[in-house]
Amino acid sequence: MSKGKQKAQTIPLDFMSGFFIFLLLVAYFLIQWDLFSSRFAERAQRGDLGLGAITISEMLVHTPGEPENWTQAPLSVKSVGLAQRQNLLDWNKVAAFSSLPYANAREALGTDHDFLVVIETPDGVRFASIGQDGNSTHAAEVTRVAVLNDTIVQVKVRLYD
Amino acid sequence: MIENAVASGRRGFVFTIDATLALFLLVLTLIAVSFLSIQAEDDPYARLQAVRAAKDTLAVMEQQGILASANQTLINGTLNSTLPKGVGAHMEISTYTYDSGAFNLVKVSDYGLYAPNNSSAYGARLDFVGMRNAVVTNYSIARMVIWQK
Repeated sequence: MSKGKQKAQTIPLDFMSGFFIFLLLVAYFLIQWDLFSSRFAERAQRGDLGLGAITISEMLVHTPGEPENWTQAPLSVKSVGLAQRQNLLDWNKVAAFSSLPYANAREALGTDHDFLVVIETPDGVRFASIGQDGNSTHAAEVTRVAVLNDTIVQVKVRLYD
Repeated sequence: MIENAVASGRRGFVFTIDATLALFLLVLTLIAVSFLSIQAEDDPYARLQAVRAAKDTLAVMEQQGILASANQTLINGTLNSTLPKGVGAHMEISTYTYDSGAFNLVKVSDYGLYAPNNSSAYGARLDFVGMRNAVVTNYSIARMVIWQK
């Protein structure tokens, strides 16, 4: 090698270790990305169910339904609501909702998911259980508080994926 | 220059601005992905549910006359039994009378527990009136704060 034409070279060991660190970082990125995408998908699924359960519970506990006197013709109900006024439930509406066939009740709640609505006291004395347990392991439950027959009750709305 | 470095036995380092920039971007991306991954574990509707629970409890207690009773034992018992398990609550009721065109604060009552400093707390408020013989006797504001224990 002539003195005036020396060339700089990277040392292979340095290059290899740098490349190894780079691969480690890329692997970490890919693992994190995979983890993130699966968590995000789960979160979106959970969010849909959660939002659906909140909407249904709001409808049941805060609205009288559509039409308001839907108990006179339960099968033609457009939207189920159980409230006389906010957080005060009407026993006739609870009974009418219980008597609806499952498919009609689900349609009136505006959901495609399986549902279960349980109305019970905080001590567990059950007033009504409407709907059915779903087979899915994914479910979202929302508990609301209301008054039924002068008793404080919990309205539990569970939606299954 | 190079000749001098070689002659003196010093080593050269490959250290360019584009390599630094690439490393910076990679680290930034890693941090962003890790942050988003952790964020995805949070329940997006926890706040909404907590606020609903507080509003429901206030509405129910008002309908049952529990708020107006100002009975410490009754209110604490109702808070314990109606709110979901694992939720702590504190309630403050400020009572006013209306006299000579102005509201006068008569008393402030506290019920329930006190929120720990490091918890995320959510609030709800309900205004109600106290009545006797169909006459309004006082005006009250109930403020509830709830948190995950």
